[in-house]
Amino acid sequence: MKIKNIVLFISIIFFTVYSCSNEDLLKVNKDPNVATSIDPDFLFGYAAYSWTGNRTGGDVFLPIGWASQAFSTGGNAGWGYGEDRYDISPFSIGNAWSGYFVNSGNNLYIAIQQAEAADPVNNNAAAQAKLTLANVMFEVTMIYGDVPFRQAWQAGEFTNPVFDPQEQVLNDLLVMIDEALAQIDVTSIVKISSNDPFYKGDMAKWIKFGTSLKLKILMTMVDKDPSKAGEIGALVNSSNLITSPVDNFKIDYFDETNSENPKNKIFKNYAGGVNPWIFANTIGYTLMDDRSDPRIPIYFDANRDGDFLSVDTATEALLYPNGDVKSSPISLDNLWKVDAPDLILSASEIQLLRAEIYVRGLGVASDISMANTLYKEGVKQSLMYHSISEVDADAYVNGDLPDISGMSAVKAEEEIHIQQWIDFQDRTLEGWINWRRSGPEGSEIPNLTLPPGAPAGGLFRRYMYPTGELNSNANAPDGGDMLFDKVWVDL
Amino acid sequence: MLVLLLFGSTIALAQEKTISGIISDENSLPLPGATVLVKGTSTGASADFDGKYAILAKQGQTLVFSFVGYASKEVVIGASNTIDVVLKEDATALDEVVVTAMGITKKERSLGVSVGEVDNESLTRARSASPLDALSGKVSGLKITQQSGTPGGSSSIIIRGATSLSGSNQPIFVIDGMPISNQSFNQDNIAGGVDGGNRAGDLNPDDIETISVLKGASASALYGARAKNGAIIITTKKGKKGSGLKVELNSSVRFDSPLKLPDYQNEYAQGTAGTYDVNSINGWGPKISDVADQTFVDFKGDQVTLTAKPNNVEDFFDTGITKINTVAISGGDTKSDYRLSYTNSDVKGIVPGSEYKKNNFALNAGRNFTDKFSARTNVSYISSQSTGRTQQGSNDGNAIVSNILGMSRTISFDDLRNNYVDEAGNQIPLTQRTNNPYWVLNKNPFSIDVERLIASVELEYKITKDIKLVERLGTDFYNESRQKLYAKGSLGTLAGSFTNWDYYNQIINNDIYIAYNKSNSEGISFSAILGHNLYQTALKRTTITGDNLTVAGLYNLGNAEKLNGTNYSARRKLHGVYTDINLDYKNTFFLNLTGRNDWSSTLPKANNSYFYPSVNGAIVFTEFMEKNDIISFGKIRGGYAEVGSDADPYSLLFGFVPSSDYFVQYSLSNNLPQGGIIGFEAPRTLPNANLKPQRKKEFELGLDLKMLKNIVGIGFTYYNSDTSDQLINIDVPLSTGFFRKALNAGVVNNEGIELDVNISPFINNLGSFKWDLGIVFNQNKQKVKSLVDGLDEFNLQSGWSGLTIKAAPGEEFGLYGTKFRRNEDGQFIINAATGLKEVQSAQRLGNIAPDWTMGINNSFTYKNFGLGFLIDIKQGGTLFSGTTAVLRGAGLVSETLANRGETFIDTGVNQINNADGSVSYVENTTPVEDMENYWLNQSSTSNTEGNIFDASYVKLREISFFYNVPSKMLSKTGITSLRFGIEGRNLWIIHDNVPHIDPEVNFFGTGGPAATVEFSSVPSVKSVGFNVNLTF
Repeated sequence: MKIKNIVLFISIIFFTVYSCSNEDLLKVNKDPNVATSIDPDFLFGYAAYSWTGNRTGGDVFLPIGWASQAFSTGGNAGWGYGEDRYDISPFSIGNAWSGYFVNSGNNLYIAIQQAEAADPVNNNAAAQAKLTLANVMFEVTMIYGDVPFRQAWQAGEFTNPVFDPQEQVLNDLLVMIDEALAQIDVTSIVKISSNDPFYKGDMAKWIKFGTSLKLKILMTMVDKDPSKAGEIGALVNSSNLITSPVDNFKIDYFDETNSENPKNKIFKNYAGGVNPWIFANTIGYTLMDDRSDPRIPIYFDANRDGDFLSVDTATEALLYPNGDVKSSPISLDNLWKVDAPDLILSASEIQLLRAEIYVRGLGVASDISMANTLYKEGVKQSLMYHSISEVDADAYVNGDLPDISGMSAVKAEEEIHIQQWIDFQDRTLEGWINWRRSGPEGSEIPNLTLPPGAPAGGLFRRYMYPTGELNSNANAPDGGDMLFDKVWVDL
Repeated sequence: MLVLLLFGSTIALAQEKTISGIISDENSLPLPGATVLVKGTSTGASADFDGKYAILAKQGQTLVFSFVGYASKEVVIGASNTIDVVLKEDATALDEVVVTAMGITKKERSLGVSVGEVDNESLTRARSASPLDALSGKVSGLKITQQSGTPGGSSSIIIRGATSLSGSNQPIFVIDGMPISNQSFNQDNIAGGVDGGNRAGDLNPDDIETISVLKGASASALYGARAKNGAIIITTKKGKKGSGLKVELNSSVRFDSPLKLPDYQNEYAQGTAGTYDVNSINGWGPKISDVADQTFVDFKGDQVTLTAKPNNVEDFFDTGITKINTVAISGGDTKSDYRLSYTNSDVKGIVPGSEYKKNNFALNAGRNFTDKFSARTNVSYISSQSTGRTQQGSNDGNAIVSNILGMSRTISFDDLRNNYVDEAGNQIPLTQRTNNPYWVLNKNPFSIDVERLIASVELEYKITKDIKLVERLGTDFYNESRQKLYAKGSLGTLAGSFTNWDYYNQIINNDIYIAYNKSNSEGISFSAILGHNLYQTALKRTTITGDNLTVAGLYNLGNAEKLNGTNYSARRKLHGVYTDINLDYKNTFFLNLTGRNDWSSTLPKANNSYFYPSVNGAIVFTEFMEKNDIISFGKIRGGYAEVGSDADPYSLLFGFVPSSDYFVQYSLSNNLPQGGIIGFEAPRTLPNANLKPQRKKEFELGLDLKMLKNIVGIGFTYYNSDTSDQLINIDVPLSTGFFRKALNAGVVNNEGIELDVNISPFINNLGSFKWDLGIVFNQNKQKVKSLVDGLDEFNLQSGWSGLTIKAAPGEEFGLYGTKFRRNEDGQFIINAATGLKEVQSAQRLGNIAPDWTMGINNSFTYKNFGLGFLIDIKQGGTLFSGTTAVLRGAGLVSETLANRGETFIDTGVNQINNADGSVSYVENTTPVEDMENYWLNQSSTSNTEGNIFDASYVKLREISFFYNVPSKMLSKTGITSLRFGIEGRNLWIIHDNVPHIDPEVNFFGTGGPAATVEFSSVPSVKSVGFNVNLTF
């Protein structure tokens, strides 16, 4: 073989060995599309908006609103034909679950770990994420019942997270809230500030949110676990409760493309900005009408004759002869305005809960007079939240609003539950949860009946488990639960 | 004319005379059926039983004598009128050459594996704009399915059954040694995604000389990590060295129309429960004849009388027109060759406004610079533009196919077309929530433009007589721009929006190998190559959405109030060292060994180097037999190989992705940042730092025979493959915080037979009549041997409402969904309250793959006429028809007429739950409320079983007729050959079991296992066309 041929062979071998270097290959596989580490702030930002997208969209807000009879579909022309008859799409059931566990839960869980592993430890960020996670998981367990919690989000260790009993989950949430409240250092600047969509890092407000959430969870449990009354009594007059609208726990939407409140956006995108599909439900409307509630023109639109006409559950809306809608839709200019925030925990809600505590004497001596004051304060704050002037609000609560101070405890409690129902017109998840604890089966406030066309079995109390989780989790329950089956908190 | 005259004047006139003689072999035995041809013409004759022939020719012309298995012989006609010839037996004459892996040509006789080959004639007989569709029914073991009737749409090819639980099942495409991209993106997936085509469809069938299909792992093992799904090796046409200028013109025009449309009822208008409703697009309204004296509001607000429009859907579709024109020049001197071609394809689809234009330029040129050094270059530039690509599926205001196929019987498309906007230019929608289809067609066309260059250069240097060095460097890169529009005023996006997708894809491939060849006088030949391969890909995708347009109709980013964008890029690199060793003893025993080691960038350091071996061999056993008339050639062959593939880039490490939006149901997702809040999120798939390559092990055994004096040729192959350590992302409990987890798991087995039979009854006979019958048959049995421990099912693909394609241990890939409940006796369980069948979810409904497929290809030639047709048969498999679901649920098709307005009691039983916990059944006596309720339950989209059908079909795939103008008539024109053809594709579904749609469907496109799922796809087309082929 000639020398030049030998040189050629050697060249090939050299080229081969050289070009197969591992370092080069590892460099090629460095992902340019992701960050390998990230501040908890940004995981928190995504988790928060994913959560509200879930809460206000077509997987939680609308199906629960229809199935709980908070509003009416007006027949089969629009959305919700199905949901109001308890036919809730498996996609909604699955999307809600994945939204809570993956989009919100996992990112909050990682944010907590990152905050606690940071140097210096970011205790405030950990607390912000824990308190948010507590509210997220409160919603999850109220929707689905027993759910994974202690083993959730630890994919390495627990590949099949065990479903914890709801009572245990709720107690664990109370522990987590206490843990978070203990972590908060209002003087520290180490926290999630500008990327905190709720309070912009105001840790004093976070303490109020945590305390209020704790009270709310305790109120959900107390009828099943009367021992919670003590803790309720200890909290009811805490100065750390949200009692003023400035402390409301909410997340903002904007009058900008793709930042709109989804409740409004659905009509913006599909119906030219008018609402031809979702109407005042007769149940809630009648309660308001009987009490001359000034929120009626805020919540609903009058028809062209100036009348408000509600629609029964799963029933056709009324039309004018030319096809225009005669029934009253939910107002897109007021209640579902484009930049309406998603209100998650409010002062009116807490004041009405406090009123209920005093009526029922939960951990405190029953005091109807005190309850009446708080009840009026709660209603007033709800009116003012909906842009009714303080003067008009005062006039209403001191005028048309039934005074409960002279009522029996049972009747007073009923009035409070009615105001809770009205206050939650726009918060279908909270309204439905509150309705479930408002009385034993058959005595809830308001008194609902099975929608026409819904399967026999009972009123809507839960989502079924999503098939995705049932199929992939060896520790999942058998999945035989129906939409009307009770979970632990249901009375 | 002047040109023709000039050519004509150069032809010397000579007197024709009859030449006759005897054609015999070396033992002086006559060779009946041997042929004699006047060189350069189509004049020919065959020898009779005594070997005698007679032919008309002129002195000075050359006669070519040939016979199967014998070396051809040429004799120049002299003064004598008698020419006797002796043909020598030539083993190599049987040895057709086949292009195999790495572009290495091998004698077909020597192959130990099954390789399918299709030539240009077959590909262009009934031309399709894509070369892939033309393979259907011509190679055994191939399953080809078109996704839709969209012009420039995609076709999936699966060889020997789907092997992968996740990722692609598509083979690697190699053109002139250069692996090319066959990417197919469907960014919007089932929610309004378009059939964007796959990149192998860019190739021009007119430029292709042959396609070799390397079916098994043994054949494709040299491609290592890319060879798991087989390989399609394309060789393009070359010019001929030492020939003059040849000009070829090929022109086709083809007319397309829907192959099959639904069978509609024409008695009932839209509405509910017999009452008219302008906002319901269905057929559950009043009986049209009952309301002839009434008027109703139509979609545009006019009061109209209802009349049936039986042909409304048919009238919606245009006649599609496909024009394909090719001009190619080729030739060469003694040292060089070249071929330069240009093809223009212009397709107007059946959906109004859909167009696809493609320009292919190709150059293939080679030169021998010295005796030792030669070079060849191939350059192909492809530019395609398409507009009006139909958005399919649902959940998108632009997805109109279901509304078109599901149009109410009283609505005319003319009316919709003439009234899609009012005087102010605002849309007149079909219903409150449904766009007028002509608004979408006119205002919101989806466009795709592709610019692509495939180029390679090959340098060859002969170091010695036996050793050569080959270097082949190539690249394939393309830019693809897609645009989706929502004009201002489109329902769902009233403020207007548009999305631009820009894809850049690049492949660089380099092979360098040294090849050694040596034969000795004892009949031993040895050849080997040792090579190195570098293969790297890069892709970049940028997506920008502009929302809220200021000026209507202006799709400029500056015209959008809000912009939201994402980008993604990925690179991967693969090095391979390979060897291919061939031993040939006396042209009878053949052994082939290959080995390849790959190093991949996508796997962890510990697992990124892996070796794939293969061995195959063949024995021509007829060499040991007496020569006989029964078997003239026989070969047994066998092979074993291991191949595999690496992971997707960046599957190993955890990273946080910036979030550009957050999910809200009903396509209401909002953008991030919002209100200044920035989001990052953890990955949805849990990465795995310990991934390893997946591996496919396959063995095959085969037998090739030529029998009955070569009248019958048979090729039979048995294969069995296990694909293990599959790289899959399994669903994990969402409560872990992730949707999926990456891991290696699962074994999928494919076992099957392939049979290729060729029968040419007249091969040895006299006369001008020829008949070639080719049959290809494939039976594949797939079985999922195992998944992950504890996992009963693995989701391969998901559609709507619980329809899923899944893998389950012990089963083939199957279609799953809701199924009607039955008792132990198989009777339907009917709800006693509603009279409707009860259902249960997540049930297996059938296999997705067919039991067997067969192609029957006939071609007849008589003198200058030819007739060919191809029948394509598929037996078995399960099909889901979303169109049938929609149309039945909506009461629009003829079967929904039955029992309307009457009492109907469905056959089945009611379940009685007894007090003691036992269950008993009584015959159902509850009538359904009405047939609207019945069909909504029986056949809604969420009721999968009601829309499940046997996917079998028998189709007349191709039919063609041609006429070659006799060379005599052309002799004075300078035209070498002229051919006229009539061609038809997909003309007739001879048999199927599915109502309303063509059973050949693949809604999911090329991404997965090619399940026969249909959901409001553009109907497939039948075409008839004409073709002229002219060569100077």
